[in-house]
Amino acid sequence: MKVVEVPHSGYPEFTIDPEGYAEKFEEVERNTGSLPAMALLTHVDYRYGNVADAAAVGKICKEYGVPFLLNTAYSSGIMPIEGKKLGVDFLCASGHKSWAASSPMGILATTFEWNQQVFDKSTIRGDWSGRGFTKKEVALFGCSPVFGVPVMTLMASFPSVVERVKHWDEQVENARYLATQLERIEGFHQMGVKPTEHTLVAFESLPLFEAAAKTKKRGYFLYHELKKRKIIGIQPGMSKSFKLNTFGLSRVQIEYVANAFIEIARKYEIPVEDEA
Amino acid sequence: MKYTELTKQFRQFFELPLTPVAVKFNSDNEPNIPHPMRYCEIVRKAAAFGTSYTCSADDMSCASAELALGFVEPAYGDVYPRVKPANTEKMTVEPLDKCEFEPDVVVVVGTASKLMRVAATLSKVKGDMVNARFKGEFAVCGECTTIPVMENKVNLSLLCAGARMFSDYRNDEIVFGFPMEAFVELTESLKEESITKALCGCLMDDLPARLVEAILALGFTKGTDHFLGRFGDEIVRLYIPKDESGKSSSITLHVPVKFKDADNAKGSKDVASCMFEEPMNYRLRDNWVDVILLIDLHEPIRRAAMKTEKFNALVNNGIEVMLDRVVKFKRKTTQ
Repeated sequence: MKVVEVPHSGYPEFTIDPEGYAEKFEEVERNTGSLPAMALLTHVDYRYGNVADAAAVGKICKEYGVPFLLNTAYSSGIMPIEGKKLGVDFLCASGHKSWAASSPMGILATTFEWNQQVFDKSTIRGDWSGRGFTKKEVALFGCSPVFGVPVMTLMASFPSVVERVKHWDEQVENARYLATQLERIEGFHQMGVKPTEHTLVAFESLPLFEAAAKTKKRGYFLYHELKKRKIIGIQPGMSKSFKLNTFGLSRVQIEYVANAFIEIARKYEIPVEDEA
Repeated sequence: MKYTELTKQFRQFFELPLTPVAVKFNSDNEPNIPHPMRYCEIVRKAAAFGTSYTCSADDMSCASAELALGFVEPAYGDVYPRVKPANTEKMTVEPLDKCEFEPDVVVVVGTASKLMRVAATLSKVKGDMVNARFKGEFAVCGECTTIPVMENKVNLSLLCAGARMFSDYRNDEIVFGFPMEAFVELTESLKEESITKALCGCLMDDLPARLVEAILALGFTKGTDHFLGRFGDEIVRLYIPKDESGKSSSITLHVPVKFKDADNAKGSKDVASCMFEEPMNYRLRDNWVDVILLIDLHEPIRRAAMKTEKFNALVNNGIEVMLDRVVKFKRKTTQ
């Protein structure tokens, strides 16, 4: 399989321009004589939480007749997604990432047209017995761990998911609030699109890295300082940059997290701006 | 067992189906081999089936191995490699994880693709190329046992016709021979992040080590997809953009300046764009304005970084220009 990538915009936003897909389709056609077999877009990137313009990419894919797969690992399940509106042919998701289900579990959704091909059942018949094997779901072979508890946890998450996606805007507001608060600390800077359009946010925090050099726990000090304040989730060892996801936290909890960071900054004599 | 954990760590890291084999010259064990065999056959059996054999000269069915391993002195002229003086009376060959003695040599059998990873890691540990000496004869015995023990060097062998024909070595298998200390050093280094991290496929791995070192030496530290460092009163970011074909021949320096709100930032950005000439750029991001300086290297960055003095001068000069412009920008605008 040969993969051609659509470049991102680079530091500090790292965004994807949908027009890049059209350019790459034409480049592939020029070089190989045919269009790509499929276009893939990661709806929300795992690093900076940028929400790509899936509808624009879907439109371009329709124009060129290239099947479009949208990876919604960090979007469906927490924010409203309508495959039809986005013009996707395939939509995949991780049950254990944004669907409140256990792993290993995923979702693959497709259109009626593709359904016939992708989820086609076996059609073989023995030449001697004449017995037909027509019920085997070939596409689902090899996934036995998902049958049972994981699929039940996914099904159990549906009502909660239906409810929580209605509050996506509030969740994003909370993330923006946190970014504003953390950026009061000298050297803190939210990377990716600003203001953030997602609850996954990445920060640079060089002053914490500098403070880490003076502590016994070195880069792990941030993890321990947060843990002392009953905040977990930051990857141990991270201090000069880190990412966090505010999804599911109430505004009060977000304020608590923001205050914790500010308290840690002050403890290590990192300047903090007064609140506006 | 003394080496169970070490063996497990080595095999797991390099995903080796066969066990490393411990070899001891003149061990205390008594010969127990059921019938004469080739030395290379004994080694492969130990690696694949976990057999432990001690053999004497009488148990060797390959004259080359007898010579190379020092069971006999050559009758005419000399051969290379061989154990000198030929004082070997017996040898014990057994899987490293079961071994209770201190081995002289560890022999690792694996496919070329697996041992390629061993070579890459070994090269990082030693900070040098892997120098192999082989000629397709006296392979497991001479090249992978005698050379490590006599010259205290790790050696790689493409095997010999006898090993492939009579001793069950697969077509895609090759062999590494390690002096015991070198094997221990390599395996223990697998715990070190600096050695193994470079194999993990992180984004920074796309950059040549020499380039990363050159940038770190300037006072930057690694960020996520970029470098950052404190210069004067500012934190400067260094990013290596790629052109449409994925090549890099420039760097950009960034200092994000924060404003009270988005309107203030927009007004300041407009002022800055009118006020300052090229090569500065100002990009609005909500209530921040990114001050950007593009440094064109006019050649691929890998090559540019090799000319240390010129590269350092370019970047340091860029940082000076950047700091100067940021001071002016802040002075002319209301934050």
